[in-house]
Amino acid sequence: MHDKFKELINNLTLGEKKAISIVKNNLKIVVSRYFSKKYIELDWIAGKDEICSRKVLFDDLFSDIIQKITYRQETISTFSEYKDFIISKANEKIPRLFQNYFDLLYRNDKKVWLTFDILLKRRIKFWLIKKGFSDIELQEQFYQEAQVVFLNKLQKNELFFKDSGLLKSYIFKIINLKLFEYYREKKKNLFFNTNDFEPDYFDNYDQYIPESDKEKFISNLFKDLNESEKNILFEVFFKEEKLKNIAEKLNITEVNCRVIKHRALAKLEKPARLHGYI
Amino acid sequence: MNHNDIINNDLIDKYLLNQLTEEEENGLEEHLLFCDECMDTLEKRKAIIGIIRNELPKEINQNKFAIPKTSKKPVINFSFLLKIAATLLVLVSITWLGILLSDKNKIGKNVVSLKSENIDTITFKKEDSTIINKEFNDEYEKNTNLLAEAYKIMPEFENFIENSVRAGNLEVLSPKFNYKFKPNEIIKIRWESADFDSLNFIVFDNKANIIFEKQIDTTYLFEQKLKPGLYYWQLETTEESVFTGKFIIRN
Repeated sequence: MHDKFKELINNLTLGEKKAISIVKNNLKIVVSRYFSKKYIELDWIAGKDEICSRKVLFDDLFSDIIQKITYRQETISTFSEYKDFIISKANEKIPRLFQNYFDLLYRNDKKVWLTFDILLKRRIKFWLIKKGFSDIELQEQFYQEAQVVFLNKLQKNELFFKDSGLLKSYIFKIINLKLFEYYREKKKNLFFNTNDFEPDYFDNYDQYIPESDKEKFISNLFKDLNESEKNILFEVFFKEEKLKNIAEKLNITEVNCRVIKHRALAKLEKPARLHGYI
Repeated sequence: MNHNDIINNDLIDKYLLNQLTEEEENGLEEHLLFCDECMDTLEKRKAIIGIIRNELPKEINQNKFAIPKTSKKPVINFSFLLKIAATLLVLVSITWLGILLSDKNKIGKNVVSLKSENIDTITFKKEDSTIINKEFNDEYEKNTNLLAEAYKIMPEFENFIENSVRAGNLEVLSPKFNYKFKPNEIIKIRWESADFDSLNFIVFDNKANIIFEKQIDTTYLFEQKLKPGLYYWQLETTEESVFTGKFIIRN
């Protein structure tokens, strides 16, 4: 594997097209994954083209690699060296990008607000469903209230975040407080874990922006799944439960659970691929 | 990291769900550099997880989906049940065969009588069918002519479309060019422009009759029901048309 990696870097130095595209793709995955583990979603900075966007970040990182191996003639001999290098560079760049994104929000940039709204709405909905609130009106109400609080703070110029993780924590703190209020009104005694506002991170969840025809097609696909398949998909990809635990819950074997999961995924993947949706 | 290990242990799913150790993660990421198949699977799986997370909540009725926590029960031995089912099946089929052999003549007679009844009732009249066929053909021809008319292209608009490249500074994201919509499907109009906040949206049929006109923002849902056919649409300012596109409503 090390020899293969060295060969790839050599090809990159020579400017081979395939090597360039491989490294570019890999860079996106590695960086996105690394930061999502740290609760920093790069999707939040998917704003205007030049000032703050993921694309600019990835292009910058790629040119850093090229500079290192060609102009400075330093070698990257192992994958871990390569990963450490891009992560350290990304760490330097992300706070600046995010601050730019925030400046645009403050200056009322339409495009950035649009992405922010979509992300905020989806994330709140997702978070509430995970907590067991499937009521759409309630989701909408919480989204509105979170937005109002956020806007008030923004107008007073009181918000400073160096990355999306902090922003999300702040938003979920707001919603958690709203949940307390909601239950106080309902006079229900519920115990809340104070760590609940810890944000969830799903890097690809937000990349999906549905169009009408696509949305219809996909929702039809879900109708073809049976209850156990939907159940398992929900547990695996929504609650992020491990197969072993799901199998125990459903009282089936782990192998059977895995088979059902694969069958369900195939039912979704094949038609979606045929119609060019994925 | 071995390719088969990745596939057999669902490591790509686990990677996307952050369930791998750091060592496994590095191994997989390095493997992705050299394996197109795994890279492809990862991209597709990412997309499908995105879809699941976006769409599945809509399908969910929380009560319906709450999996009851059952107490541990012994897992049913299916192979043992299968053996019992197979023996029962053999026994039933043997007895059924015996009954069949004893009543063979009786059943044969019944079948013959049924056949004769059917032949009596269904009589084929050649004249009727020719009349029906002729009427059907006329109607079909008329309809297909009308349909063909509705899908006929209009040279002026086609010319507009070719020249609309010059308009610039406007990117239409939806609908795709020449997209075929189902009847009654809602058409989502989405465009982006650095120059305009709103534009006049006009829909024409293929004979240049204006069907719809409205000032719209960057996103608009066109919900009006249209007959099957070819339609042209334009985005225009008060001075000039900045974009011309077309879409088809399928029959």
